[in-house]
Amino acid sequence: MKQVRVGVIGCGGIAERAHIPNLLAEPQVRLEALSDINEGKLLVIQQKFNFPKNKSFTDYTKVLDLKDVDTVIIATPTQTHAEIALKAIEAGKHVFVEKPLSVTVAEAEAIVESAKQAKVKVMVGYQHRFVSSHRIAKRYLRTGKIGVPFFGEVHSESLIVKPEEGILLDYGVHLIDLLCWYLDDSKVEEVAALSSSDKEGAKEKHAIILMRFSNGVLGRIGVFFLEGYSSWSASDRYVKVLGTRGKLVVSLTGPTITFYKEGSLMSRLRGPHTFMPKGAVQEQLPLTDAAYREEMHDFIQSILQDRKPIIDADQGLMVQKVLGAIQQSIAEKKFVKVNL
Amino acid sequence: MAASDKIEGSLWKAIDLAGGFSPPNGSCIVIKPNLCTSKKGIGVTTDLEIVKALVNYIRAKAKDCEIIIVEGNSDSSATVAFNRLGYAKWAGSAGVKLQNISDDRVVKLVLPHGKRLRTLLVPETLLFMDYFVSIACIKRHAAERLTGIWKNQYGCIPDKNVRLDMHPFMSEVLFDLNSVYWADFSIIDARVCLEGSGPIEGTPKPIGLIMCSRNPLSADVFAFGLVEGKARKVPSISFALKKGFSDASAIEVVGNFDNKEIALRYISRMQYLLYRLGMWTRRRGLYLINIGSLFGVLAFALRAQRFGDLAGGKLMPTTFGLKTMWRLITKFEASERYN
Repeated sequence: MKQVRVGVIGCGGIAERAHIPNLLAEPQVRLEALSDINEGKLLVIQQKFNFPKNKSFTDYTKVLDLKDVDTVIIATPTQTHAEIALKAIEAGKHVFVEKPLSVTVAEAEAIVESAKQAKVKVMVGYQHRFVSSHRIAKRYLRTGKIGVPFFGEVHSESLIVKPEEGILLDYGVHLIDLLCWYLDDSKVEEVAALSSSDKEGAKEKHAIILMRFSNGVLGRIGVFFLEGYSSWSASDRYVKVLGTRGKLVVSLTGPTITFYKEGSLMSRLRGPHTFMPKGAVQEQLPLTDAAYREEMHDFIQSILQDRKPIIDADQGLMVQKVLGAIQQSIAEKKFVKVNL
Repeated sequence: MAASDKIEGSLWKAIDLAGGFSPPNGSCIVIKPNLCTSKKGIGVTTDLEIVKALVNYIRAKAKDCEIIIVEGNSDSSATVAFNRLGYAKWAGSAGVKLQNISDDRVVKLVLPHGKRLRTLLVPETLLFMDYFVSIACIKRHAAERLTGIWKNQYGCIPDKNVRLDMHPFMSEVLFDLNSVYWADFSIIDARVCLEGSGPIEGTPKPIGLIMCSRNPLSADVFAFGLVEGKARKVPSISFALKKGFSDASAIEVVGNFDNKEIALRYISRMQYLLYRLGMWTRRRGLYLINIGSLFGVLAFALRAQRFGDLAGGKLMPTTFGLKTMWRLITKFEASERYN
């Protein structure tokens, strides 16, 4: 059986909670190396997953030097993504990089270009797309169940944000990717955005983004940091799409879809009605664990089947370009065209 | 009402007498016959001829409609039933789609005000349909006395095992199902009824009636009244009437019919009481299963919370907690097996 031999670079929360267990659960994956700059953290991970010491490194370049490793998972802080990804591609490794692909558009373009030349797979970790309710909703959109979409919105209130990155780079990129994916019949043409932070010069904590897509569809993203809140149940998070024949509201990380189709029996009887994917046992149960699993599975399968991963480097670059335009709009306080 | 050997003429006349059925052009219309078995037997399953007549009526009234005939697996696979009962052979030439809803994609619909169901698996064909027409026969049923339109919607639960599990709560489950799948038009094909123990075993009895209604409950109330004298003798109908789905005294009857009473033999009173006792006992069993699951949920909650916080109302008001527990015990997910 063909196997993918993987090294994980960065053993922080997301690697420990999702990527490493998901890789170990893949029958066609062999975990060959781990790397983290923090020796103590590395030790904890070694013990937790019973991983040999001689395959754990504090210097990630040693993972790239290993001939036994053909694929790397990059789950390090955002500022390091581009540097590590470029070196990994240069070493001929397939790359899964946590979101966002990079900090700047130029870095993202360099990754796309070098991946094309090296003919390796690059996937970006926008796992929201793998939440089952989003996949169902997307299928309904594609098959015209709500007619032609004319407005899309993503609203998310987060309880965590990395202050050094700001909410747009840390979390807003997820929402940009998700909205563009929902409305993927068209491209973002122009954006206008506002943001706020509590200190002069500090990264933004809240942002509102308006978007116009190439076919006239309007978009809105609201992303807010609920500082001081302790319960995720206080946070309101959803995707909403309005179409000419109906609308749907999908919980961002929960399982529910609220659906209305003009003229349908169920909408006539019940108005907007809420349903869940089969298998969701309880409303508001986070489905993100399953989404991470699906995401990693798709990446591994893309290598085994030699096909494009669902979220490739081009998609990651597109998000960076939209993010760049948003940041420019905030700085210049005007609408900015997106050069896709 | 109309009684005639010419099915199409009789059905069209009956539909028009009941106010007609004219969906807008381009609608998606779902027809739910009763094909609970693939065995050919008069009065057991919905006769293809009456479905053909209905499809012709719809085609005459509305253009470009998508017509889908649905049924779920039951005594046999719905796909086999479609084949053996002649539906499959006819559907292609008639431009009608056949859908086995047990093989359809499903979503889990949340029923916040369900009488017995917390959630229901809904096949996507039914989720997106614009109009719903139910066609059923009148049949004896060991536990329910009689079945017709109201019970026909029971076949909209895609998993036949879940259907079997929910039998003890038939009245409430039918109430919930009919609130979700409220038939825009109901047709009772009582040209031949089934007497005996039903709903698959029994003796066909020619009656010669076709009844139509815009209210599925009214259709059954009237038809069952002809058989039993009082439709309230049928437990599921009695439950629905109590909840106000239809006013039995306000049903307006139009058309001509000769047989004011329909005599259909039934099982003995002792047999009926034993069936009902069986249902009553199985209800208690299902409640016990839910209580067992609830203990598991509480044990899971105690992994993260202290018992004092759970019971003392710190996390949620005590009354809310008790109501939630009561709901978890007395209501069911029509998407999971309980046995």
